[in-house]
Amino acid sequence: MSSILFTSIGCITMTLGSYIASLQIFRKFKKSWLNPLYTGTALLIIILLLFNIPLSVYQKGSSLFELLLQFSIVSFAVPLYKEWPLMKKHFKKIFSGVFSGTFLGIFAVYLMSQAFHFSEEIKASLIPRSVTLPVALTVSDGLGGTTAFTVFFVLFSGIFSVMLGPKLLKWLGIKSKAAKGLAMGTSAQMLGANRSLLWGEEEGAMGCIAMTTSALLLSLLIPVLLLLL
Amino acid sequence: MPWPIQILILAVFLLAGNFVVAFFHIPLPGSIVGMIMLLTLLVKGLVKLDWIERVAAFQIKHLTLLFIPFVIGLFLSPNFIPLLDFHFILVLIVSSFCCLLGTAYSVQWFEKIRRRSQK
Repeated sequence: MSSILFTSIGCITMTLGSYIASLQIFRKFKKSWLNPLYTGTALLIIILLLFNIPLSVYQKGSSLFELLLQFSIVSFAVPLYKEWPLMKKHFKKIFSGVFSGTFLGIFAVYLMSQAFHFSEEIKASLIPRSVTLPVALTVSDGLGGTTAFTVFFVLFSGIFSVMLGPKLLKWLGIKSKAAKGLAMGTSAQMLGANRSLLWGEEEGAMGCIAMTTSALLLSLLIPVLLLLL
Repeated sequence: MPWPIQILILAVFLLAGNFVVAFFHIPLPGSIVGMIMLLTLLVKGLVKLDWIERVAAFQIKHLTLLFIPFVIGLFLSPNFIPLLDFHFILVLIVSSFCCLLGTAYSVQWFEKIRRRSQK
């Protein structure tokens, strides 16, 4: 019992330490590639390898973060509530945008998975690839996907969309503030919402709305998606 | 509201969400149901924003921290190398584009119709 407690405290301290250190680095140099997600992970991997801690031990010790992730989903009620007047005013626009983006994304995943003969497990992990990680993990779990696959798919889609999305939107001549914010929030979740804040306040608010509503929409679609698999 | 109570309020919503999902056999994550309940009560004014705002904002601001253990699990797991499959990458790229452009064009189209009907 005491050894479990000891590893938990150790793992939590290591994770917190790497995160705080990388956050300090990010605040000091203010470069987007120094995002704490990349540097914090790299730092923690170095620590784990240096002290020869196996992954299974670390994962057992860091289960607190899974619980906190559940909490953070509940917390998303706060940004949604703050943008409530804006959401009510533009309800149809937001809904049609988020719905068609999410639908087209799932449709593409479905068609290509059929063509490549992916297993159900992979399909289930691919479907939530565009929503924020805590929700994606719960959705993929509900559909029968795996954690490792889902994390990779979500991160790859998010980083890819945030790197190429703004350039693509500019190249295609999409000027509407709402369209840019909603597109980034729907396809690159938190990373996209952060990116759209750089354009301005309206884009940022739309990015945040798109991130939360697309996550909500996808989890409400679980019963329908189960029929598709 | 002091922060331990704020955490307790969020925990009550999470537990309530999990309970509702288990009790009524709803195929939804309990945390999402808890979030919907909290949002409904906030909109109805039964829960005040400052009861939970500080803890919720803090948590969302540091969401990256909660991602780190999962990314570690991804990189150190033996399943990581097979994930870098060309087919997976292709599906992810195409579906990201569909998602991005589907949203952007439908919003722009919607605004165009709205403008035309206002004239």
